[in-house]
Amino acid sequence: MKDYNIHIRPKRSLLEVDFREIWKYRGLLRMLVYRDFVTYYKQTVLGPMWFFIQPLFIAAINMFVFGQLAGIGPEGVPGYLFYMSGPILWQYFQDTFTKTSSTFVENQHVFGKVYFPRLIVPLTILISGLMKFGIQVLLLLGMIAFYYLSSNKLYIGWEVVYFPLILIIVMLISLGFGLIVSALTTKYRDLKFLIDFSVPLLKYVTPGIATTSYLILKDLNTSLHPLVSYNPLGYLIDSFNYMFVGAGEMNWWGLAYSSVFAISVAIIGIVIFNQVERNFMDTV
Amino acid sequence: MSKTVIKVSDLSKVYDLGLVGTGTLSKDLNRLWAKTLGRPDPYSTLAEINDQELGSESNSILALDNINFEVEQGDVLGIIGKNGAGKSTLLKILSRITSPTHGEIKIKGRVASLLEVGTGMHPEMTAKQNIYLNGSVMGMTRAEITSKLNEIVDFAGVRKYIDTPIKRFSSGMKVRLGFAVAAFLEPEILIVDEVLAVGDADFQKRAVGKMKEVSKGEGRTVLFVSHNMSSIRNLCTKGVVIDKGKTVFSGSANDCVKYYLSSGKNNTSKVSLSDRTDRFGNQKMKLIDVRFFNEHGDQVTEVISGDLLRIQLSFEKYADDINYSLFFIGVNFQDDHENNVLAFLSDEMNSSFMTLKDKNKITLEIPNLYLRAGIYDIRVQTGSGPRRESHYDTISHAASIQVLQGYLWENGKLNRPGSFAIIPGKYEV
Repeated sequence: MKDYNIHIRPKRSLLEVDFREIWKYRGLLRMLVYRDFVTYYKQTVLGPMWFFIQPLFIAAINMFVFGQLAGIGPEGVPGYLFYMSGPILWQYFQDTFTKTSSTFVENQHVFGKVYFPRLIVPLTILISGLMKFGIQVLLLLGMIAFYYLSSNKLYIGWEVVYFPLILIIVMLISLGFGLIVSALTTKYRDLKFLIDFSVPLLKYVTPGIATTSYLILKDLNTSLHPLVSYNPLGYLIDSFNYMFVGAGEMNWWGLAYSSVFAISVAIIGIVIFNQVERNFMDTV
Repeated sequence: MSKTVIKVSDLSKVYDLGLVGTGTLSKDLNRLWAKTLGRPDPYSTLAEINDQELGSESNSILALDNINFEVEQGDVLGIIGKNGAGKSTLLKILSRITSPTHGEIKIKGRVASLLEVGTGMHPEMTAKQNIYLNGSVMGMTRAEITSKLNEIVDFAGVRKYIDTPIKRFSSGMKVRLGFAVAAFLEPEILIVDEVLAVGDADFQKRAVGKMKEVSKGEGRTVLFVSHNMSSIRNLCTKGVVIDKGKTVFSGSANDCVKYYLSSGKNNTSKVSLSDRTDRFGNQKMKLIDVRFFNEHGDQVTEVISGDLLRIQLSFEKYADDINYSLFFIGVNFQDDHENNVLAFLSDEMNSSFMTLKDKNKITLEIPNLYLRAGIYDIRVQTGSGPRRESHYDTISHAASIQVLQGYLWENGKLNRPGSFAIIPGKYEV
């Protein structure tokens, strides 16, 4: 009999990822995204208002701490716009990364009872996160329009056409890192704690949050320089800021580096995840 | 024309007790250190060892050992085995939740496994949304769910609450909803774990009916795991008996059930009651002997239906804090399908056990044992209350008694054999 469609075997080769099967389960992906959408702010008083409140407050606090107290804000652009745009993209990265890294641990109950391609869950996280991110980008555009109307100065640049590219690279990085960590946390739960506290710290050395890379490299301690130059997110957030609010720079070499980095980390993540998903129920 | 749809060849699964992560890096390093010093693993959990006879010197257990079987289209295969025999591992591998260590399974057709009903349902979402969600988790497409939505809702009996979040549902309603979705899955192969054990009696009946319909009417293949021998006999056409990870018997469902029950009995007669380890409870006391006496005080192994029977139970106590005021003892008579036929539960019977403090024997006197002829197994439970958590000792197949045909109706006619009780009564016209 040749027409067996399911083969259950002990080992899976490294690169054997069944993308066709994932495509077959796209309906599940859609339902899970819908579930996240419906249940995200259930039983909260302000509901989706939280999507707006968060970036507005973060921008105000960052403006006070970095702009006023530390005095490292960028020049020539309204601080409030700058301190709003960077954290929006950062927050998307941080949310998807930390959520993806607990894929196995959080879903062990479902994974222990029913089969579906496990990659569906990280993909759901990636797409559900876009919803919040999209709304916040709209808010940012609204603020840009507001500044345009009040000061007659347009901060958004034509480079914004590269925005989808930037977004895809960020998605790949957060997916890749998230998958790697999620595979490791099936054995070592410690990692989860490490990630939860270190990722928010990382943003202080990522250009585009506190200040631009140019200012970091010029003014700050030289020991921080490698963290800035090898940080793939720095180039992305700096470019994001540049295209939306005109602060920072589009470093093409940096972006090329980030893309290579993103693709590698995503491939490594998918391969590791794909190996671990087979037997994780025995170790989790 | 029968077609093989599942082919399991040389399937083995090894669980490496020594390698399984302890959960934290520090503990794993600790364990590595102990290993290099030649000390025993500080975190090994003995409870996970499948079979005590394997001994603790081996660091891995063979949960499945060279399993081979084939399932043909339309078969309803019952998988039978004791707790820890490897049934769940087999199901997990078949449903692709974990992978085998050796061997291979080939499957033809779409598989749905029902190891649980309602997997993935979200409490905040409405019944309708959850039907879609659960259906997609089970691998149905949106169009399939839409076309069956009405049937599912009716089968679950939740039409009135279709737009209510299921967190407001009773647990029974949630189970019904989950089962309804599963019942309308249309896989070629359905794998079912004892989900039928949940829900009320009426719903169980409907669920069993639905399963029969699925397997008979539509030529689908079902793999069914259960402890309930009568539902195996009822539903299944074929069976496989698994013991300690090996297939020890396969054949028709009836033969499998017979084999399983008789093998259970053989095992127990070999080992004396006090040495048996297949017990539950905290073992503060232990049943070590069961003897039967007739009305003349002679020790017997059989009794005539309707006669007096005394069951003398001897215990050994292993703790000083046995609670005699709340002491509970239950003696059940079970037929060869493991159905409880009779139960003598001390908490219902106003019994007092205060004097048990200085003694270690309890006698149950049954003035008239109105059971039909047959062999009955005795299951004994003791505890500081009838609840499972407070049990000292629970042991099945502690002893068996043969009931011989009797003359209940006092007309000289023997009662026919067969399970269950005969109770005095009278027809009048």
